[in-house]
Amino acid sequence: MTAAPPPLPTVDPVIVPSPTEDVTGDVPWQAIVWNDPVNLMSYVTYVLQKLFGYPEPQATALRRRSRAMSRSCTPPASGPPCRRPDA
Amino acid sequence: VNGWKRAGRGGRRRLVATLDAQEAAVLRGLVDEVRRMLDARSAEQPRDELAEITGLDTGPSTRPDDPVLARLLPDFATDDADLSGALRSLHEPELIAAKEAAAAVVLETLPGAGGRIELTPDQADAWLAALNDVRLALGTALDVNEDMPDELPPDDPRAGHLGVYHWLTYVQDGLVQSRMALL
Repeated sequence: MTAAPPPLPTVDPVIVPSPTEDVTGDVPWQAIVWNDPVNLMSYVTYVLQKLFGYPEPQATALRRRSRAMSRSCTPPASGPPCRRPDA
Repeated sequence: VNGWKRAGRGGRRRLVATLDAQEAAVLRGLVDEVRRMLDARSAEQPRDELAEITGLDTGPSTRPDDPVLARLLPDFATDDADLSGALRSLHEPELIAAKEAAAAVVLETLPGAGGRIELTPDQADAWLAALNDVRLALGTALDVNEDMPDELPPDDPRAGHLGVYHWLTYVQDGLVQSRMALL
């Protein structure tokens, strides 16, 4: 017969919420769309839809912005992170 | 091309067009030419022993001298030459591989003597990428810009090629519109 093992020391866990936790989306990259005389407007819109999952109106708006301002940036720094297309 | 039409439904959706023999020959020639240029670029950078062992290809760190190749493989960053070179070295091989794969899909699905072309959505994406590369190459060689007229004077040596460029634009735009409708 063996002696019962001594009770193990225990510690009550205390969870301290971290007030400095960064909960902003992780956006490790941005795609820059340059205005360009060869790339078709329709193709740029399609690629923005397919690659980043933007709905057509948003893809068209980004494409228009690249034309008006020579370039546009996606995703917008303050906007929602891009989602991957479903398939 | 009489435009791209949608056919089938569900998993059997196809985008269909017809090219005549001359159109098919022109497209085949241009896609093949772009592929040759990319091949030549790859061949400039011999695979070293480390690449053989790791399977990781590294590419050159500098932009191609040829303006057409430079347009197909542009700088990876515009305001930081070191970063651009490092990114190019890391990613140029896979970029070339993707372009060559798209070109191969076109060459496989394009009937030799012209005729009916039937593309799955994935094949259509490859066509769009390859058509874009051909238009970038031709557009750079012709110096296409915002102010380019639809037709050049007949004595301009670029006049004929500009017609081909506009035809490619028409083919690509039609395919984009039909492909978008499948999203």
